[in-house]
Amino acid sequence: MKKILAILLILVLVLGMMVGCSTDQPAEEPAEEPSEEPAEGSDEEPAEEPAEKNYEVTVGLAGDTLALDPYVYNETISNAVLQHMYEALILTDNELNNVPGLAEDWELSDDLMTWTFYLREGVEFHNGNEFNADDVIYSFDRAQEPFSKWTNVFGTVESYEKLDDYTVVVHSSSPDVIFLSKLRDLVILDKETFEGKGEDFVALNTNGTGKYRLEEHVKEDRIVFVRNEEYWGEKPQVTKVTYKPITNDATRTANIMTGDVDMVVDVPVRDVEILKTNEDLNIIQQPSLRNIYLNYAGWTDNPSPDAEEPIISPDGSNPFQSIEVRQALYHAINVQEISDKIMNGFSTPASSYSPETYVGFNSDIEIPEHDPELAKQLLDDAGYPVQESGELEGYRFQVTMDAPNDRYVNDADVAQAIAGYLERVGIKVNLNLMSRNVFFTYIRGTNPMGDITHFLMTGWSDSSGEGVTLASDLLYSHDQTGPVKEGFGGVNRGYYKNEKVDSLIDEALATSDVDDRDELVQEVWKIASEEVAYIPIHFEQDVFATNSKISYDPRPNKYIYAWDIEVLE
Amino acid sequence: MFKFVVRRFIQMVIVLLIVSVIVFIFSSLIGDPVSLMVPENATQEEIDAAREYLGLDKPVFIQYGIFLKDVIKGDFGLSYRYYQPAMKVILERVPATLEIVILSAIITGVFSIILGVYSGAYPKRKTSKVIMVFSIAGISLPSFWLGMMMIFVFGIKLGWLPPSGRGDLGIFLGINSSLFTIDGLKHLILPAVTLSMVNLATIIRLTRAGMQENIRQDYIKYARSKGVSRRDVLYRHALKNTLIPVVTIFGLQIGGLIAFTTITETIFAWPGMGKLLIDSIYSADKPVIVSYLMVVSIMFVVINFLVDIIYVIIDPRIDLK
Repeated sequence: MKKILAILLILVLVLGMMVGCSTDQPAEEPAEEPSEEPAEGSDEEPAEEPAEKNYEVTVGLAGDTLALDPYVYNETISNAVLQHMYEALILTDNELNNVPGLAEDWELSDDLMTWTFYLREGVEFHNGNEFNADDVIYSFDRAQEPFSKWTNVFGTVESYEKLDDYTVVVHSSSPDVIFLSKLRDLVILDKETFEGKGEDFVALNTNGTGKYRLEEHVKEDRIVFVRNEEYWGEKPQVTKVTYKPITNDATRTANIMTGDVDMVVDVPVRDVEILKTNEDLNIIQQPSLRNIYLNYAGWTDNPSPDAEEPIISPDGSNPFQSIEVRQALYHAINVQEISDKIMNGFSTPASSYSPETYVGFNSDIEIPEHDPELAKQLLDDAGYPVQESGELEGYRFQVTMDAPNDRYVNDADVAQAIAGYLERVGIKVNLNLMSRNVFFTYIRGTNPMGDITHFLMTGWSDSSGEGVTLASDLLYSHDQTGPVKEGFGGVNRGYYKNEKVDSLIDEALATSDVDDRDELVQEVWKIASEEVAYIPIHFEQDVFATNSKISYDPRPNKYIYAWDIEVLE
Repeated sequence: MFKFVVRRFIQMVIVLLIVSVIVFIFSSLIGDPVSLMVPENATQEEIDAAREYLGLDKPVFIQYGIFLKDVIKGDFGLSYRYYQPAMKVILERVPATLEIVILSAIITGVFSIILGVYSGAYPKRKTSKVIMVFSIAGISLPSFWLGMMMIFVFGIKLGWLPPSGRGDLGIFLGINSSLFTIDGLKHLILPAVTLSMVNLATIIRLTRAGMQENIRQDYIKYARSKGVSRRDVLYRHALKNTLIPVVTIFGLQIGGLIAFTTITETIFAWPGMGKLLIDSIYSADKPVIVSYLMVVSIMFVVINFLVDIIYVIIDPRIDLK
């Protein structure tokens, strides 16, 4: 017994000494993670030139990039983080316009079927390998493997080939003028480094051409980049950037308040007022690209056949098929009040799916006035009077509204408010709120449980800058049984059907002139709005906070890049 | 002793098999990883390709068979989220969690025994009453609230400690840990204290109850009348007899701490195992969930084994057989 106690005591003492020892050597080196990065790092000298000043910045993100392989994820945080190291053929400027990246120039043939990319010469990967057409072909091939999330980039691509070391040609199966905007997040990997290696290798090792090199990645703790001094283009000011994933909203706020990070993303709406009282902090806001909207199965006689809680209407009809009903729904909902009261002003009411900055945005479309009386009138006219008896007593008809409760800002509250507005005009709403990992399976057309949703609230965004991309996902005709045209209407969850819209979208995809395309897509939004194909609620707001050490100019797509951060002297 | 170890080992294998079957079947039911992995506008073809890639197109029992093969290979299958062997993903996270658990266990062990013995020996003193109030508070306060308050007070208002994250790592005896640097310890204090609070309160109450019962026993009076000092009586005689239930509970608590530090780790953005588990559940990352729970089961079996051995040390009358 005594022996054991003695051993324990010694252990404690040793531990105490270890702690004491490290006190004496504060200059202890931050530990290397040798297993993280065998390909790089070891042979790299830290890029330090005494003549130049070091600008270091720490940013708190809402999540981590899970793998360093750019193809296994396609979402905002991973894309933005990995694009520090990897570059695409096409890059974007601050307004999401296409600018030359690894492709110096490109051209589209007159029949709109062939893209030719002229690659930049003299570009080196981080390990010194030369960049050329083989890397592009390899990357395109790899982006179509089953694990890749980028297969839809190649939806309209028939084939591609290398003409010479610095020319790549892509042949389309149908005209696709917005192919460029799909390409610009598809980064290029080094063939020599990655060919023949498994996903587990690519998930840990990097070798790109980007403005930054990876210094360290500790999962869920930090990812550190240092400036690539051999970069082919203009070098950014920030020499070292550390991204910290801090998933808990309040903890992120605390970190900017204590100065442990210089900038945070996704500031929770409730914390903005507190942060504003701190003079050292700046709040930056912009409307996000994400539209929150309502979809209803209004273009089918048999909505949600497999649902446990189907639509109940007095005569068994599908009320969403009536345009008066759809108009009534829109008039019943007070979009402005949702923005003011639920979102605390941190949202921008939307008139269509399209953000203002996108090609094809139609500024003539207005949000219908909130008018419950008119809504009731329209519902009466549509043949859905308030029932005097039966299971619908006091109501016109009953629907089930599916919505997530942990995916979008205040999503459950917004859904509850909408249900409330609809109840007020006599529509009985079963609110079916669920977690995001259930929700997106639930509302998918290919749900193994069958077709179980007829009315839902969800969100959608893409960062293409092109309204036609939005329209081809959200509005292109899609049958209840499957797509009308492969790869189109993938999230047209109300089975909206309009041949005019389809042909306008097809035409826009084959129109290379931006102004002409703009006109065509404006027409799409106009038709959809006249038919009330969906009810847009609002765009969420992106909220950032920075301290006075830096200034930051956000991008519309919320991609955080170190080269958009300026360290103030 | 040897026989005892072998028996425990066989028990462990059986427990693991049962756990893996149960978890495998249930995690097949909780959500469809494929629909979380493919884009929302994916075509049926893309969905099918992803399903085949993950091997989810096969019946569950064949998937389980493949999993068992991966277990024997030692990598426990490829994580759907990290594209790394599941076991590697888990083991990478172990040191971070062990750090806060070790510190938390030291805080709990030292303070709860001292405070528990004191308040048990002198229940009428004011200090004892304060300790009891504190322990009730410790049991009732939820850790997410406590964690946030810690950050607010010590991180923001006083500015003494960093609000979150793991600090610099130091190397000692080849072990890479944030326990060995000042910066690392600073980052450790808040999560470790938050994690200790509930256990601290429980053990104080347990020790106190045991002490109160023991000091009324005759052998204490004998010891005192024999001339043993008050302190020796308390800490050597009474405490020893109090410790058996305390050690049992303490062992279980440590296991619980290692396995399920989820909330504390999420609040303090601590890159440990608890956070890994909750993230994996959210994204239906079956290989990680199953491997994780198997690791946890192994750990509980081992901890219980160690507790059994400590029993023998504390009370030689107990026989392992």
